[in-house]
Amino acid sequence: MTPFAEVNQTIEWTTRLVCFSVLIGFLEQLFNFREFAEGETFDWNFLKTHASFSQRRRMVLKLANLFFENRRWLLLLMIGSALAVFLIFFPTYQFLLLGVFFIVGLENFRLSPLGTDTPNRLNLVITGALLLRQIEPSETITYFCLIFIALESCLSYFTAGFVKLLNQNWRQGLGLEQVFQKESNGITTTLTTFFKKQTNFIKVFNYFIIAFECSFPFALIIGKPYFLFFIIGGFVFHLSNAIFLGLNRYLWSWIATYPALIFISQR
Amino acid sequence: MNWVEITIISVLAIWFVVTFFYQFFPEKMGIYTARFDIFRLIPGFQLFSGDLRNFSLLYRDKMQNDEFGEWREIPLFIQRKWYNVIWNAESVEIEAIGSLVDDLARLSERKKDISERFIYRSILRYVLIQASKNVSARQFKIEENFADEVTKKTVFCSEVHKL
Repeated sequence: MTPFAEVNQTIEWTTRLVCFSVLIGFLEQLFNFREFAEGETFDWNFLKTHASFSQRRRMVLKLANLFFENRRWLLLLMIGSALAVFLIFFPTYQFLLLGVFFIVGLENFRLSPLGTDTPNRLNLVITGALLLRQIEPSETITYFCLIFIALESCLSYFTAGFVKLLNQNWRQGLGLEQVFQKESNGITTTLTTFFKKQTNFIKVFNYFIIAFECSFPFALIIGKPYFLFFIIGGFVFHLSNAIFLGLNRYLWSWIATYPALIFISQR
Repeated sequence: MNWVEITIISVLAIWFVVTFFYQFFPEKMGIYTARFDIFRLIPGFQLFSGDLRNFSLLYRDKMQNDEFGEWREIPLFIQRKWYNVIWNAESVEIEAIGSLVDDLARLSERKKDISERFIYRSILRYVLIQASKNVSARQFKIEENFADEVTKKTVFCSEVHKL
């Protein structure tokens, strides 16, 4: 029997996986607690000098100061981690996702001067959809919530593929090589050294990635068992990105959409 | 369907439509999302689509005898380990700095006076906290590395900052 054919199982595993992704993000920040001290990279007193805070209304700034002060923020991350751990083991307590959603949203806001955090933004989409379902957990709403998560997942792959298609380097087969050069800079494992030398192999993969990403939305309509090609392919793709490019949190955030994808694809 | 269900479905539909258009018009819509979407509910999925360039961050010290030392590179990467597939905490700060270096290098090509910008001040802070002895001032620069792994070009050089 294919997994995630049953709706409650799908919701529970989506919750578990998204909470795992969130937990990794929170713990990675807590591990770097020294960088939240005064004068360090994530020090609130410095971050708040960025225009995304200094040009906000006074009330927003007051609220930001309330939550984002260095020690208070680390405490919030601890609370968020505890909620995520609880939900991994007891995913039926969906109302607790409200806390996770709120802290992830605040995290996106606090770190906005330092650039976007794509996995966290997807986590917010997933937790947001699950929370909306919690308001009225009927069969119809559950179905729409899972469709929404599956569509967001397909949109993410399609966009990533489509914009690569618009980029000259990717069209010439050089995009992946450039990513490899940039992201594996200084990394000298046997595998990365091997792949750096296999330029033809990388070129083939360059085009395969574009084709795979652009065609990913077909996973929703292609039917059983062919959609598994996209699910397994997606998993291998993210796993490779985590291994070679260090994009560990992308793996867990995107996999969190797979139960919904599998559920919808079987209908 | 009751009115609560209709409202929830409408919210999900609007959320998806806005996200959809944001993928293809990020700059136009970014004006509004940067202002109103403080939680970043509208994700952007344009991954690895830009012009990928490889930058290095270097600094040199001015000693108390007024002579400059050698340029030294601050690594913007960490040697990966097997467990980084799940856990990659060591790269959290470096990734943030690497992203700022990339932004500053590109910004410096478009604008002249950037020393008051947040990204400049962030990198300066990071450079200034590197360990030092008998140093009176410090300067940093950003170099672009080209695919042949030999050619390098200075993209940006900061002022000399007293320690």
